Amino acid sequence: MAESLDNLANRLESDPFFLACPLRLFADSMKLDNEHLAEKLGCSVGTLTPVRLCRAPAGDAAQFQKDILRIADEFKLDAATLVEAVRLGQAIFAMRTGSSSSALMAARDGEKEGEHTGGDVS
Amino acid sequence: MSDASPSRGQDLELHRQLVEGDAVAPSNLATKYLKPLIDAIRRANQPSISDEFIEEAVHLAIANLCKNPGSFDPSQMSGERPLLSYLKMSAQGDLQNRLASEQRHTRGRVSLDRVEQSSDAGKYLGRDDDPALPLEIREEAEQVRREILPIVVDGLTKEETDCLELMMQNVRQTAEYARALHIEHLPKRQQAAEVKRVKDKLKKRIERGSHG
Repeated sequence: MAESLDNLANRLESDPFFLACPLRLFADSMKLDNEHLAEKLGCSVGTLTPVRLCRAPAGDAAQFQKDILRIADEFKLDAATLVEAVRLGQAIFAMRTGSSSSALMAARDGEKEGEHTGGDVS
Repeated sequence: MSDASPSRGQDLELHRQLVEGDAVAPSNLATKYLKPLIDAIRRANQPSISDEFIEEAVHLAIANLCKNPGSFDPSQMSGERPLLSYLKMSAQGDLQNRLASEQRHTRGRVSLDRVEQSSDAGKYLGRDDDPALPLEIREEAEQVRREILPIVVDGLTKEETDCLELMMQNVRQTAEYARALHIEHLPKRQQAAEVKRVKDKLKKRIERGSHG
């Protein structure tokens, strides 16, 4: 069962709808394997698989933060690290595909907002 | 009312979470149904069908439902596990598409292999699976595949890539494209409009790709 779920998560690494995609890009950019990625997020490798199958946080800053908190709360992850991983992964994806400058702007604006509001996760 | 059964209630709740955009719902759906779905599709098909194809079809069905939960209409599905039933139908359809596509590929490969092995392979073919198609044109098509396709495909969704494959196989039926795009649930006119939009997009990309 775990292997089947892992296969699914691996396949979804190319689909930005799912969290597997930005997490893979983040992990690659940091040269982290799954074990180290899980450690950084504060969970076990076994928990990392269902985490990767979540929808990737998206939308405006408020929705993004809501998604992050929902996932972090469900799987007991470090929310700040999850934000960092998702933002960076999504920015890398946008740059690679050249598909969405708005995604980059969203990443940038999200970071700015976090700085201004002192928000804990964005 | 069957809605009162606990398992049906759980399915409807899971669907509601998907519709509302709960970020954890796709994970819950996959955790709950991936294994039963793979088992069901494997049981429903010939043992000769590869596990890889079955997994791929199941993955596609789950991913599509997560991305488009509106494609599932609870009122249309009776039974204890309406989501599972829906996913089974969807995965079975995806599997059939995949097998049909594989069959077309195999036919094409067999045909090309025969051409290459032919002792009197001149500029044009004799009669083969596709007698009207000269070798020159096939070679050109292969060149397109090798050189232009990677440019055209870059950034396309899986569904759009499948449509491109259909276009390259000269498939004309809108229904085939609608199936590839997973929009069969839409009214025919809407399907046709969406298929046209995707085909126009692909044609523009092909044009751009072929002009370097």
